[in-house]
Amino acid sequence: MLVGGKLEYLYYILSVVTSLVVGLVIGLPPKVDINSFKGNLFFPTVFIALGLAAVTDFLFTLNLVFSILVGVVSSLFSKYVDVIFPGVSYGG
Amino acid sequence: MEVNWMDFIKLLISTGVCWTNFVLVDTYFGLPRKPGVSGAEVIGKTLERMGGDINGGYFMGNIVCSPDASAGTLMASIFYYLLGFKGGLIAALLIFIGNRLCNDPGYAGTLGTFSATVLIHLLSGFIEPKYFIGGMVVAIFTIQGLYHVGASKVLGYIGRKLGMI
Amino acid sequence: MDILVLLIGVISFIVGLRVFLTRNRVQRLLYLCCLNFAIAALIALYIKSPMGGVAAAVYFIGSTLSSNAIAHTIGKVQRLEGRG
Repeated sequence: MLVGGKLEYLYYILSVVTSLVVGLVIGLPPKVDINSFKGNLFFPTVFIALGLAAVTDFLFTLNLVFSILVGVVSSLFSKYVDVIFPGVSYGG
Repeated sequence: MEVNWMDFIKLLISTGVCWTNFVLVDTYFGLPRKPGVSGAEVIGKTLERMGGDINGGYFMGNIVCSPDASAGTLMASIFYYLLGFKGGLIAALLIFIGNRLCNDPGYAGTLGTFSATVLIHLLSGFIEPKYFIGGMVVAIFTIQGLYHVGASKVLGYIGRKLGMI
Repeated sequence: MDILVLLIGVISFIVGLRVFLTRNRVQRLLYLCCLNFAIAALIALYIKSPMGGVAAAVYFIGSTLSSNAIAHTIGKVQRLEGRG
């Protein structure tokens, strides 16, 4: 009902759960600070996992391997998000 | 050209939904409190000199300088119109990247996109997604295009009423 | 023609006219922001395909990035001239 098939809907939940579990294992802080550029357990992780799962679903297909891979990649992305996208410096 | 009155009612409701969504999300994440870059500060001070409210001016300057929940609502309606619910999730990812490119942590834009996607999905039985695109353009026209001094007063009043300044 | 495309076109025409008529550089930036919203919506409504959505998103984020740079430059210039 949400995105068409029932099984597809479970794959999205699986990738979010995988990203949260891997995030706990690699030690992301669970406290949310809305002024900081560093990632935490919830903020970029959940939305990156949902967005990457939707992109994968649209370009290829979403199965068990891909959804677990998306979860791992999104929690690693959230760990190093302040290195990949730092704040902008305007040249002095 | 045939004009249906149902179109206007749907457009009016979607304008109200979009306006409420992005003003509430942006105010909650502190856009009226401080300017993000120095350009937003200039916009706020200029509007104050013209007789407006400085916190509403900061709000409008931050909308210009970074894709916040206003851009998120537009992108969510565009991607829901083209790709369905999955498109809204892709839009949240794109808006997060755009926020980080514009020196913003990205909370307001990403959560605004997600809440707009959920609202459009809940209302999609009655209002088609393309009305939300028009509704968002009308909503941003009432703030950035019609009368800047009055709009900044309204935005400052809402921010002070919600206790976020 | 669709009523929504007509409405967005009228709005972008009004805002585009006001960009030329206003004298204040800061207000011109605010009108340009509204014009960018309208153009992104028109891109998505004309190109009814997923690539149209990607084009609208890339146009919008790029135009916001350039608005960010212009507003920052205005702030720097006003601080150098001692007015800000």
